[in-house]
Amino acid sequence: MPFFKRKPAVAEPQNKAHPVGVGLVRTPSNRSSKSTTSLPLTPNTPDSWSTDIGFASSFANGLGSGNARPQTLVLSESVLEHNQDLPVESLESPLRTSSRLSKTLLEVVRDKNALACFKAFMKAQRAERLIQFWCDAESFHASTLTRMRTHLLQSHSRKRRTESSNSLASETSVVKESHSDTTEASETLSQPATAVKTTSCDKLNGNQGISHCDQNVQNLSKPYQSAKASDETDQAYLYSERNTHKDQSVRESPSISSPCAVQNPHQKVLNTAAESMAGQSQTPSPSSAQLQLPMTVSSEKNDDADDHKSEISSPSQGDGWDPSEGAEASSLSSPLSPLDHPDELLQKLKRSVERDAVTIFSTYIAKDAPQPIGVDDSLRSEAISKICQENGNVDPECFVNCQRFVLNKLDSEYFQPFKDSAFHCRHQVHVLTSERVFLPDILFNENALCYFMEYIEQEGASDLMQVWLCASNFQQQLLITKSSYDPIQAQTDAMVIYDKYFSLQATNPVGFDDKLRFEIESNICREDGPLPDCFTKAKNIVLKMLEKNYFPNYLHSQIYHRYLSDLISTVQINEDIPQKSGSTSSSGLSFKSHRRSESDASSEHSFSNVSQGGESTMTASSARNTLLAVDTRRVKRSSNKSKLNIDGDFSMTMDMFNPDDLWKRPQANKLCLGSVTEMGQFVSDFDHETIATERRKASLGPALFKRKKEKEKEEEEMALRIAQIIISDVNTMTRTGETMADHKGS
Amino acid sequence: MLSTEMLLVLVIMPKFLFKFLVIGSAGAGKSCILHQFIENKFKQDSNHTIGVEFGSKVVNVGGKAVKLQIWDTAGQERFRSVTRSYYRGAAGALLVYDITSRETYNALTNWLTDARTLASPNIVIVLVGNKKDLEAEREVTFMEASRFAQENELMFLETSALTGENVEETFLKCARSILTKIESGELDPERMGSGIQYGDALRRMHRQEKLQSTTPRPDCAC
Repeated sequence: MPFFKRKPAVAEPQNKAHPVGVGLVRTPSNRSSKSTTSLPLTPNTPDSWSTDIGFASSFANGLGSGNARPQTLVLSESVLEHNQDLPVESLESPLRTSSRLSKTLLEVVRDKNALACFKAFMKAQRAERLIQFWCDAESFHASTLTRMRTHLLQSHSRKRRTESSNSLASETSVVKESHSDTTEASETLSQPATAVKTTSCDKLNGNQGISHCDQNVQNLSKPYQSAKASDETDQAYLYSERNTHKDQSVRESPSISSPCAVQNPHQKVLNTAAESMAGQSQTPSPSSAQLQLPMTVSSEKNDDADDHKSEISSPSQGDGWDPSEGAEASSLSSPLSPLDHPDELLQKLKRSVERDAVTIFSTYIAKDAPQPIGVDDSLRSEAISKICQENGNVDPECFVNCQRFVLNKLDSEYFQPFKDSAFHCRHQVHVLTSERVFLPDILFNENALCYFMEYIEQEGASDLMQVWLCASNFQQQLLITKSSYDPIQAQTDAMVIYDKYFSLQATNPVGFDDKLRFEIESNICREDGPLPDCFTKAKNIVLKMLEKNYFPNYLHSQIYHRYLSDLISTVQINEDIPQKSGSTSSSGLSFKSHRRSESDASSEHSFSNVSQGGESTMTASSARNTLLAVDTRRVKRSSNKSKLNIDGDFSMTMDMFNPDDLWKRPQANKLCLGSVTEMGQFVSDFDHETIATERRKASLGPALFKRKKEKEKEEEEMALRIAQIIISDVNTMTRTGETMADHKGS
Repeated sequence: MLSTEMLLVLVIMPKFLFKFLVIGSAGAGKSCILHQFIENKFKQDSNHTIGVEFGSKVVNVGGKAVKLQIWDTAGQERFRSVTRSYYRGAAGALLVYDITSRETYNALTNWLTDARTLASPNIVIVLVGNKKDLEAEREVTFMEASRFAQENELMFLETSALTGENVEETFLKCARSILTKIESGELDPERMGSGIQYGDALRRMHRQEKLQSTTPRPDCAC
């Protein structure tokens, strides 16, 4: 049934090319009723493949070429069985539809490492102020809400306290926040605070005072990194303690009617402490949950509390806050006793909030701002009116529209370049090396997919990938064009996929079982046209198969390694400070001399490799790597190795000779190729190791070679010839004749 | 034992992998060009593409073996937003129109903008007028198209997926141009997203040269 017709002057190609009548006639059920005996999958009886799930061994080894499809591969629903319990968007779920390698702008600004990379990028673009403003405004927003809520709760509890000392447990958590905020303020705080705590810990009988004290001291010295960072950790901490309480993200009314009315004998104490701290708090810290008890002590001694105040009052704020504010704040706060002057406290709070808002405004938004973010007049006047409200309060949301404006601007002007930049690569390296990598991370990132596709193709399973691609494209397309759903068109599309992969006469059968085929047939023939999830089950089965049978090996493969090193080299080259820092530079240099002196050994070694490679799978890596499908290709591979050795390259050889050392995925942390320092420079931690391996290998090399030589002289000669060919080839390619002269001599 | 054939394979093993795109309006014959290129025969009953399809072939470009990883996209407008996501990081693209359909020719500007903005900025694009065999039904003259190509700095060829005329040349031309760009330094294959993957040996050489030129000499004894 020729679908492709050449048409002069096609007006509506798809409609004409697939006349409605024809499309409708070609339903799957018709197809299957016509099915003949010459089917690719009929050798397998349905019974045998419903139980046997898996691949032919030849296939799994990568020995099957692209054409030799896995005839025994069976894709049935049972594959999905273990998979039901995971929510779709959870990290582990293979059904996740986004990659952590391609985050959206919003995801980037909410991710600590990504934000750091983005900031570095913006700095390089000389537009740091935009993201800086966003961060400042965000931390202002969060901290203002926290402070106002704290204050409200305090005034509320003050009333109640006169009647009863038992009060809301939720206050405790709020107090926690304010405490942690204060601890962020300065390190000087830790001294007096701990002093108070340790002296009065016995007063708090039944409380875990002492242990908390220790933790507290540690936590105090934690450097403040960014508002977002603390946001995340904060939430994590709070979640574990009291999962109803997500401090920063709660943006509604500050009144918290506590669902968990835990009795706290020290409630009174806490409240007092909270008051003493209020007004200084700026941002919450990761340690919030742990700080609760030790700090409560302070209220027992009001003098101490006051002491605190004077010491803490320099506010810790998001990056780029004006330090002069801190001094101002302390001068304001010192003489007042919060217990006696609640109104005063409120005033102080207001003043400090206002000051923060004004600082941000004058830095970024005002007409003569030193770091203008380019807002227009309407946004500016809106911000002004929200900062200077008639009731004298500052609206915590005063910068929200400006933030939105900045985000849009970032998205349209800077985000795409960022995604192409080395800074983004740096973040990707971070994601890939510091956490476990999952299949969706690869599938939903274009560059990663490109490499994975290459691997899958070498494994001979590109049809499997194509099923996934088609099915998800089909689904995506229908979801996007939901409003203009055309059942006939959707059915035609579905039939294209069906004919290619699912039908009994499929041009590229991948081995789905009958049950699934029937299901898809009925999905396609649905009265109102196929739904977007027509192929979802098949897609998920494929995904599961990919994940189970290919993905683990992929993470050990040379191609994945290449992907990582491409990422890393993008980072390194872009930064234009090639291996500047101590450790890496020394190894880089020693590598060069090392390479010179031991070039003989390594090339000898590579010869023996080549001769072996012709016959059998020799090293663990080539067996595991299954890079190449046919015999000739395996030779290619070993030649690849010999080339590497001749080059004196070792970052690849390590992987070749002892792949297990490097690529033990379960302990993903061990896999770090390096880390990004605070300065944003990538420091590789595997150069030293590599040198060691190289040495070991080099010392092994000659021995191996000699043994070989005695046994198979012929092969050695052949290998030599190959090596010479390679060398001359490489020579011509790179036009750096003199570097290669050594090798030729050998 | 190693045969001469194996030796040959050794010498011509792929040193690069280029990511290619095939784009253009529906019915221009993109999938047929790809099929002709890979299988060396015309695909008679070709269906339209759902989203994206995939093919690859190793070609010899000026003595270098290059593997082309080709992403054949759907031409239908409704798949546009889906296929766009595959553009990123392509090194080369075939922009295909149908010489017997002015409509496909008129849409070229849109496709071109998409390719330039979404793929890598250095993407090498070849304009391909397909269905050359249907000379009688021609609606777009060679001159007109080549002027368009010139204005937009594209290479231009007319092909026939039916007869296979110029099909391989198109891919080769594109690959050659990318190689030239790499050699001239205009394209940096080390960059992620350039659409180019090195065969490993070559990459290392490249990097070492770079290192030697950028790091201080080892004399400084550290």
